[in-house]
Amino acid sequence: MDCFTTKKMKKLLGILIFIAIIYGCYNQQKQQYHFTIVGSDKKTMNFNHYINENKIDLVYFYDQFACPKCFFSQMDNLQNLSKKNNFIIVTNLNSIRELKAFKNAYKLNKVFLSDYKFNKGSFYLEIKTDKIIIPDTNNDNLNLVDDFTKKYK
Amino acid sequence: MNKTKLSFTLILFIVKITAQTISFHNNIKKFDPNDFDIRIVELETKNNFLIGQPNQVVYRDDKWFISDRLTNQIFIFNKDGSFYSKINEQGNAPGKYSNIRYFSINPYNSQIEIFDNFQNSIYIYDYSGNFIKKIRLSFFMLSFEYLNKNTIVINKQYQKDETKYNYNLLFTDNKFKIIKKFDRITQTPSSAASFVARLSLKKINNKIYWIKTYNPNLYVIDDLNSIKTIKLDFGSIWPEKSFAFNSNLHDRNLIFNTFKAKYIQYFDIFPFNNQYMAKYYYKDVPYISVYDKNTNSNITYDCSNMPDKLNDFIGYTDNYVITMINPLDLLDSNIPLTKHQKNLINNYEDEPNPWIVLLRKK
Repeated sequence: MDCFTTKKMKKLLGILIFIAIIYGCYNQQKQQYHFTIVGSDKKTMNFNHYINENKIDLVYFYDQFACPKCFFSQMDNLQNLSKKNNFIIVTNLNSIRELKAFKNAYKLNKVFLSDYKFNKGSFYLEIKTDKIIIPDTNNDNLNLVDDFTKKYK
Repeated sequence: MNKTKLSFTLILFIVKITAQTISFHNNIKKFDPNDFDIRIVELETKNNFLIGQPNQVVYRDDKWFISDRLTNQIFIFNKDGSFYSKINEQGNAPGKYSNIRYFSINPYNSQIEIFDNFQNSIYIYDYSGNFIKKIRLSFFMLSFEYLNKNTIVINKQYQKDETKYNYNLLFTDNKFKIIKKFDRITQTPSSAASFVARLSLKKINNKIYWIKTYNPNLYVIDDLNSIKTIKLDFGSIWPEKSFAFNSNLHDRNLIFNTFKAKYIQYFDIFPFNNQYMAKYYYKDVPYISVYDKNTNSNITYDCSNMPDKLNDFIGYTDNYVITMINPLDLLDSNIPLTKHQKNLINNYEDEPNPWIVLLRKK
């Protein structure tokens, strides 16, 4: 009886480990990057489509000239996201100095400056400070996103 | 109504008009820095007072006041460019503003008065950034300046949502209570964004100057009862009335084809003691046009060879226009720099605060 129980238990444990591995792999595949795109122009909206296609799960539309209530709730959200290790990418800034001023004033971390490029019919986003390009349609760029998240998480 | 009150009311509404014409956009030549008196103030740079996108500069009491539209702060620097203090009170608690649309320094008590267009209120602070009080306004506006200790001029201009005070200019007491209205709004352009001067109301050498959108006149306000006009002659490049008030034409030309329009855009004018300095774009080319009062002559500079930000005037003193520029852009330009300034620029590790540049025609 004891022998049987031990054997059964081992088998059960094996199955559980197998399920855990499969589940882990599935989750790994399903993992989404938490990027917050911040901008005050309509181009930011265009990104929604591309970002969703490329497993980057959060698009945030920010306009500093919006109504005051919207502004403050947006800033609170941004600060929370920033604390939770999301990456915030600002699209309407022109230089590293402006980026630093923005980060300092609103107490944000993990904020990056970006620019738009238009290439062969699809938009992609270039993070100027670190020369990372997201999200283009080929896999190489997703690897760059991987490198980027490893570097800064 | 007694006679005294009647005559007072009559006097109050008399607007004295004297016409004078000055012409611009003649004798065009390339911008030559040697023709200009250029002064540079190198601002100190540190992380806790890094300026994002400066959009208004005021010089008063030997200090530079710079508002930053990106971070909604006002930075105060000493005359020599060293940091003094800042107003960083954006928030939704009492004593905190939501957005800085415009600010002015009250010359009679040295206080900073911020117009918050979200709250439609004036927030008053001292130079150290301490909150003093808030005044809730009964009208919308673009900007304001003190005419004298007891009178403020309010620049309203085409506030679409307002019907109660439908005038282009208001005069208030020093508590922002209306005492006089001027120039009733009869026609409203659908969108005048590309033409409204950034500093359409100015106080230079103790006089208030006002530019009305799409109107080729410079209004000079000496006191409450005397508003003179100076006619600005730009010939055929000034927008025709049919253009300015025809919304379809306006939208087509300015929004979809902004810089190809056949009229001047982004016009502003700075009336100094001996010269009127105008700036504008015409067919994608920036121009500075200077009318010399002594010789009654005009010279116009095509500024396409100038660093971009150098013709974006965001302030003025009694004699100079003020602009702010990244010093690294100055290094690549034809603006003469001293050896000290070149050394400073070459030794910056990161992009520093923009420098203040003062400019006037020699």
